[in-house]
Amino acid sequence: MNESTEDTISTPHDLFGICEALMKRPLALIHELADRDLPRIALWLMAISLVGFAVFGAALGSFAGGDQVWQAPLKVLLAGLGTGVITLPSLFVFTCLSGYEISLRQVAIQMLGMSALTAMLLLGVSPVVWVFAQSTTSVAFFSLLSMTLGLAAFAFGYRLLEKTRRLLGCKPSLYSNLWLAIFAFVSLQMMVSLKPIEIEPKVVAKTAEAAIGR
Amino acid sequence: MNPIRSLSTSLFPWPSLARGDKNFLADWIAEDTVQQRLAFCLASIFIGGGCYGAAIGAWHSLEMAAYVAIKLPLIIVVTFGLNGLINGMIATLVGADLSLRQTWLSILSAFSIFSLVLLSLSPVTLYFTLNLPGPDAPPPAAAKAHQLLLIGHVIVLGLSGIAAMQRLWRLLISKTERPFFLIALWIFSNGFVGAQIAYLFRPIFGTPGLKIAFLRPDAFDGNFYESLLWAMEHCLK
Repeated sequence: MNESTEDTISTPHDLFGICEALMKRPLALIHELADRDLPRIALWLMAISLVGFAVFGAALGSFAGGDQVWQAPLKVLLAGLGTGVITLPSLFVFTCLSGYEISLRQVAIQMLGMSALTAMLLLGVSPVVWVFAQSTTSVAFFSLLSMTLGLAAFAFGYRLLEKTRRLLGCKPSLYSNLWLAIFAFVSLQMMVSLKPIEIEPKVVAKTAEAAIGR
Repeated sequence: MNPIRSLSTSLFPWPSLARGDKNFLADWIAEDTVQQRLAFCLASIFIGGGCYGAAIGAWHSLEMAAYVAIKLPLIIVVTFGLNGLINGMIATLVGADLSLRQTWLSILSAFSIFSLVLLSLSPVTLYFTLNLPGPDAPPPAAAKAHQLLLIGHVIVLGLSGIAAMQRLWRLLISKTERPFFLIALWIFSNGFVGAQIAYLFRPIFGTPGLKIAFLRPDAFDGNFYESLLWAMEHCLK
């Protein structure tokens, strides 16, 4: 990387150290990961992504209950990681088209950092989502809440991606905006096709009963 | 440049090509290495164009995916072949300091960047293609999906082509005083001929209800621009 980060860290070795670094000094952590070959940190970040997406999915699935309790975690996991894998090649090529010298490994690390931070924040909001899943009968309200929290987590993840790109000298360009649009389309389509908040008939009945009761 | 980076650049020159590095491009089109570069560019076109072609055809069936994976790179190569002479002449008329072979290599390089962009977008395209209603869906849904695919792919192909040609900018400013004019003429000539070649190689997107074939029996009846005019008249009526 060309510039030094604003803060330096001693390389964390355990999960809690990495989680803390991801929340407090994400830029320094990704910088460390990109500069030195640290497969252990990469594996931990991947594990954080997997667990974060799965737990958030479980919280979403608890709204509908039934099979969704185990299906929704898989769906959210597939959507989160699938979107990353599908859009990784275009991020690399679009960065090259913007005229910046970057390797596929660096781009993959940036994506991993974005995914881990997003998943970490989703993990953090999962208890809140679960409480609303248990107490809310309105499908519209629950969908809006989940989407808002998901978008907020993604915004932080994307901010980290942009920061790590700036660290490499990559400024925002037409291509990076185009990539963001592609990413948004793919993730929305993932949500539409996988339906992590799939409503089963009994939930619809529950919602209708609640509406009549009012 | 360190030896490892130098080796990786010579083995995988796609990123350097996509960045449009001026020095790299100047070395890239040097007269003595033209043949090796031509082989690399052709391989890139068949890999990148083939993957994107497969993603287009996957909407219809695996058979169609295989056909379009062959046809899309062929469209690029045939367009390049037919336009080779005129592109060289255009460069000479504009006063570019490029030999005919260097002109060919410059354009083939742009086509290989075009193929790289298509390759990078293939997973996204395939994902969306598989999420659309298939050609066997009830008539309005299948027709709408076909129109959506048609418009989407034309936009992606057009923008990728322009982005690829634009990468030659840094090379051409050192070779001619009118690089913009030269690029615009190349985009026009390749676009004009490319559209007709794609028309002759139809079906590309596979109209719902029509039989899958490598080439239509009436391939040489009509042309792209007549069809466009007909479609426009049809829309206005």
